[in-house]
Amino acid sequence: MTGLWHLLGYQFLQNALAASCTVAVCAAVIGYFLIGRGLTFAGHAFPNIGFAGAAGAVLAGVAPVFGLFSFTIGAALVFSFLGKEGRDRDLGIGVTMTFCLGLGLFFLALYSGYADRVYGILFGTILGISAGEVAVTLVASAVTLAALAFLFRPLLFSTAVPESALARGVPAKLVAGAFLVLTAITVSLAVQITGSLLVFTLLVGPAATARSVFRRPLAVIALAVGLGEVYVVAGILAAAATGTLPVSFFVAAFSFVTFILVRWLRGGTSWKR
Amino acid sequence: MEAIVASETFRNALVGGSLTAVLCACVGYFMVLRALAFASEALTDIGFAGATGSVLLGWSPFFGMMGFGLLAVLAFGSLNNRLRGRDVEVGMVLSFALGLGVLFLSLYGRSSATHASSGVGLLFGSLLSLPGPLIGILLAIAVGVLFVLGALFRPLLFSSIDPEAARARGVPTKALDFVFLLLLAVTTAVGIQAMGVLLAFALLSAPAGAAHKLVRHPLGALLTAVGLGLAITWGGLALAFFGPWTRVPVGVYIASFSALIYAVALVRDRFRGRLEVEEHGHHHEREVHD
Amino acid sequence: MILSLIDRRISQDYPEAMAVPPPPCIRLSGVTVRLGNRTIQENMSFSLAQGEFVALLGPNGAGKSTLLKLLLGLLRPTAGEVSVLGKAPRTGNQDIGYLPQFLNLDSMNTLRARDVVGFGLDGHRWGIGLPSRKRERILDEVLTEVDALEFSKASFDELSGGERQRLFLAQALISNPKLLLLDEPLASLDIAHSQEVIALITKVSRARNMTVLLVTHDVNPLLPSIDKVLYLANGQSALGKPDDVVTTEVLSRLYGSRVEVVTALDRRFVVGAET
Repeated sequence: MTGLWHLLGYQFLQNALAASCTVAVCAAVIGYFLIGRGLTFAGHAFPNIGFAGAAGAVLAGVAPVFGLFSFTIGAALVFSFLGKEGRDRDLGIGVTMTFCLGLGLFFLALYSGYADRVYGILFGTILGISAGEVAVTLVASAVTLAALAFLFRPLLFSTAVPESALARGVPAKLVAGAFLVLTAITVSLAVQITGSLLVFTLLVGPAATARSVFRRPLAVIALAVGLGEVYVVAGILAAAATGTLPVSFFVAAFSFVTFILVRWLRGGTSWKR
Repeated sequence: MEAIVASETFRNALVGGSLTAVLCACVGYFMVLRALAFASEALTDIGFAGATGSVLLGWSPFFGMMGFGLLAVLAFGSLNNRLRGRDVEVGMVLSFALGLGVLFLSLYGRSSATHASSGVGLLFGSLLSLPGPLIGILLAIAVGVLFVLGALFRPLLFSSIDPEAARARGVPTKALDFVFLLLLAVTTAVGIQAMGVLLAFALLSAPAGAAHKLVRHPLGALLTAVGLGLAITWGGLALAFFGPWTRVPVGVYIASFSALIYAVALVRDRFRGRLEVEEHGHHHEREVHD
Repeated sequence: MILSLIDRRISQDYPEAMAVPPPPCIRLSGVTVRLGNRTIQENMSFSLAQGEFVALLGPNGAGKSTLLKLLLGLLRPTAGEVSVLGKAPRTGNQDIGYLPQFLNLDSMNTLRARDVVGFGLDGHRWGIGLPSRKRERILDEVLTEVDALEFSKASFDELSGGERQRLFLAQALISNPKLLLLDEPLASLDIAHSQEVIALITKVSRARNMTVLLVTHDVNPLLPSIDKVLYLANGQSALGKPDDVVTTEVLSRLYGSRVEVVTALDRRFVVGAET
């Protein structure tokens, strides 16, 4: 235990914790709505698309994070175009994702080899995050949370009862598009913690688990936030302490195990979905 | 150029690629109809875990892929036709599988360099380095799956389009669901072999997805899917063998062509459909969940 | 001069005779709706007074939902004018309550009944919204009105079809609308629940003096409650009392082909028209 306290004194760990704790809040809220809107496939697609952007950025000689943000936000706009029909939209998301993955591989191949920086995108780089990146993360998270708070009621309404929401004057298309953009931003931030391969476990895992416990939106979100914080803090400490496995692995493991446990304890069939 | 075309590598890639394209198009046709996009994407990642795991154990990755995929189907099978609304569970399993795969990769990346490179081959595909014997296996699998599909074509189509009516008519929908998932898992393994884990989904989804939008008649759509799949595979191979860039996996070209044909089909459909969409209102596409 | 003296005498003794009639709740003049290359409605004109309970009938594709969308401001007519409560239609009109067809909360069906009803009150407002006692009171009042207070805290997926319809009705009523639009509210209900819902709508609309436009396929359960029928078919429309509209002559004229209305056991059956 004293070892852990000792670890906390290091700047890199404080940076990692600060960034992760703010992102986990955004991820919880976004994840709740992703599930509600049937967009969980997008939760898997965004990080992969971000990966392509990062690879492209490395090729172009800029910081990967620029590619991350631009590709995911671009994808958000493409997804808005795909409309709200479940089956077709999933296909469109999948095809877009695979295309972008292909693009990412293309960039990698052009870059002569498999760049370490890009591998960092795949597996997470939170333990090496700089103070500057922490600042950007904090600001972006704060803006995202403020936007989500602003959009909360119309987003909830148009997610649950879209026709009534339209009739009541909710600008559903705008709200939907804004939500996708906020998802893109949150995913780009979360990729730093978990890497693009495992973002889903932080983005959707806590919210999915919380939905098995509570019903009221704010309660579900609160629990999701709590779970997310525990996963990232424990994950960071575990990774820093053991030094062999990345943070993403621990976060994914905690998320998955908790999800299964809660589902099993709650009894899968009592919640009709 | 003749030298390339005559070479065994080219022949193997052409045969293997064509087999994969046909197989993926046919199975993909039903996958799209049954709205199993996310599940099939999950199967590629599960296959990844299976493959990396089996390499770690010293076995052939292909059979690890199939084994894990079949295991997953058995597990999914208990959820069965409620798979449609189970995106969250599918996603979590997908992430778990990816996590496992990453773990295995990192474990044996340490242990041996050749293992590491075969892991990479799994991610990106190895159509251009298919060993001869594997072609034989692929052929056998393709024939087998297509045979089953052909035999089950009508009941499968019926239960895909209107499961309740099919059930009422005595069609064993649950069994069909399960069988189809098995076929999907096997096809996914083949697709991964050719295109790699990251891109296998393209060959499964885009030709079939585009065909559905372009052609209404079932058999016509199926044949269109096959045609599109072959076209983009051959195009991708052509670019890979004769194109300017080296070291680009062929799957990259195929995925790009996939996106292109799907985008074209989508835009054409949207443009035509925009005039009709308001007639039916928002309710038209509502799926019925249980 | 004599005429103005007579006018003044009449207005003193019979003030109602000289009063200007209240503006109609809904008025359509010369409205044509074309979607793509199909003409849904041609030159439709009618008006409904405040407080009328009207059944909207007609075969599929005749434009019943389209008419509702016109009134809600979700659709603009190709030609003609629509006025709702004296003004042009616009979305977000809190004076209109709307109960759409095929309501299904999908993945959000674990929301509490109260929260779903609450959407009708402030779901369109920005921000998270602070809890307030006034809000809870308003919710309780409308829930009591539709007789749903006892299961107001249950989650949606635990409720039956009839109970859900009551909640959606409450959601439509909570903004105190003057006009209530209901798109096939009875379609998925069995007879018993249908009658319950009709009784509820009748009671509520009379108490609030609301104009009600209810889309349905079968007018018979509604015959005791409605004032008028608006029948849409084949781009044409007819408005009037059920006895006057649901007749062989009127419907044959609307459909442009032989349609027969058979009356049996106090019910009317339309034969020969595709519904």
